[in-house]
Amino acid sequence: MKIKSFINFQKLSFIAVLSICAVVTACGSDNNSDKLAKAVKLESQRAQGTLIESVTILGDSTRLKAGETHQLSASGVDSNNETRDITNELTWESSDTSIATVNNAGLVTAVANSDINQGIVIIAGTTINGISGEGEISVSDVAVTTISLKQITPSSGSINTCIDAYISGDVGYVDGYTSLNTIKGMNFSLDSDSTAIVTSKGALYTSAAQLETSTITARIGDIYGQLTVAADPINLETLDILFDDEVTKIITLNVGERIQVNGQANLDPTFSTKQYSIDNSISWSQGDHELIGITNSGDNKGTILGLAPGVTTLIGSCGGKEAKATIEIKGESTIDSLKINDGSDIITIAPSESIELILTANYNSAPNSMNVSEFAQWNLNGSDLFDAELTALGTDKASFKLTSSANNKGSAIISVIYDNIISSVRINVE
Amino acid sequence: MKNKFLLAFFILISSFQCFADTYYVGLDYTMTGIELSGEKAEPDATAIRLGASNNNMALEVQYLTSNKTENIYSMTFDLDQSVGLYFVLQSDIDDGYGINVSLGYAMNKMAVSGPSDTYNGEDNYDGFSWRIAIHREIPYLEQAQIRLAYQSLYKDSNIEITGISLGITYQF
Repeated sequence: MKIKSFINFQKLSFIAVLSICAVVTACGSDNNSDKLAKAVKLESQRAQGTLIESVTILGDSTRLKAGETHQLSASGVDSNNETRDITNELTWESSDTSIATVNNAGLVTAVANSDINQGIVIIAGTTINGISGEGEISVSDVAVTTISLKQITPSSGSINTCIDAYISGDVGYVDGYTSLNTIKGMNFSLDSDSTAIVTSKGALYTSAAQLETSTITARIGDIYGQLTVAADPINLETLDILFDDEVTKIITLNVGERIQVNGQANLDPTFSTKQYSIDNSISWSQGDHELIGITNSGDNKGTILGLAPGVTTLIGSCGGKEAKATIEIKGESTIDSLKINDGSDIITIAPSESIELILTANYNSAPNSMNVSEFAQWNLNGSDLFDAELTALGTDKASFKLTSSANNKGSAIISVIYDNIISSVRINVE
Repeated sequence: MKNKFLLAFFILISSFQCFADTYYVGLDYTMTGIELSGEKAEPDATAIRLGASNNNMALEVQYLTSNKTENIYSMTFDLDQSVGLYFVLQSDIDDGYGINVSLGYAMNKMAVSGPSDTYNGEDNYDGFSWRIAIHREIPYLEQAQIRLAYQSLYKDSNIEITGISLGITYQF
């Protein structure tokens, strides 16, 4: 027993000594592994002919306010005369880090507003073979004086209806600086007659069947600029429906199955032989029978959910053209019951709170249950207690979200109809 | 760093000697891998191991030197030498097979030469090192084992030095 204890004591002592030694030696050496890695990369590029010979900084000539960030990028032309994105290959440097800093991915952070020289700092990016490119960033918080909008793609002329177009602007400031090709801080709107959509990022989605002229207004505070854009469907030749990235005319799915379809436009081949994604512009509908649920807006636009068995037609429309695909839905859809959330008759929430109502259809056979919230008809029955919206469209988590106003208290019956079956729930705001 | 390594080595040897009951020596052929910027040089090397063990633990010293240089493009890599000190955890022998896991510290000296606009110099790459090995007793020669190991000699964000070894171990 004593001998065993002695051996254990020796083992523990040894492990303790080992731990001390680990602490003594647990630090790395000073070496030049970074320089060596850089040299190997340089040799690799030299051997493959991919050494960069010229650098262009993109996204520069922009004004920021202290605290804002801005992503720069860079493209380079290599020894093979090929262009590639070299944003992450460059060593980035700011000429004045007290005004703006830049990290090794080209992300500029405005540190402090400056009145000197319009707050301009030079941001340089250098390749491992020493080729540099420069761009300027300005950091100041002086007021905007002018906004001059312009088309980016295409840069001039009419845009092709259904094809995504982009708007940008040059913004002038009190100190004389002009921020180029920016949408920072702009709020976009369209004239009331336009059927187009403009996003906060300056993307313009058009779908009118005839030539349509839209006036886009961009505002920063009280300053605004306008641009009139003509969208012409004349070059639009045909539309296609894509399923799994393949042009399709027939799609088969089961009741309860969710798929994603995409729209594609083909222009007059004398104009362009390229295929264009038109997911943002295309409108989806179905034939006479309401057999599928179609998500027509949001991030999941083009999502199709099989609701009932049968055959219907999926129609994609844009610019006066249509693409059609036959959809066959297999399975059974005899509804046993509808349930809102957990089936409670009464739900109580506090003022300013939200509640997401999910309508579940329960079936006699597979699928045993399905979230049909998105494709049901919800009714507030005249109540003004809530703001209502459908959320998580195109997903199994879709819901009818009610948000109660801050000061109102009371009660409302929310009813919903799906497949001619009515269900309801009382919402108390207390 | 070398002084600290020697200090640690002597402390460990002196503390281990008091209960070591088996000593062994090993000789390995090692294919090293020097990997950086997505490129790899694989110079051959020879390693000698000396160790003392007791009750499924061992203390081992490894000396490794490359047999030849290897190029990445026009740059020549030579792993001059690697000296490592390891604490070895040994499994029981089952049907002639056993597994070892080693944790330790390795000091690696590597020389690089190439065109003047690349990199030329000899640097030390010292730091944590680990190994995992499987060994098998050699029939009719119970004190000898054949051994296959993978070892990480050094690793940082730019470079990794590894080795795959095949060799023999003889226990006294």
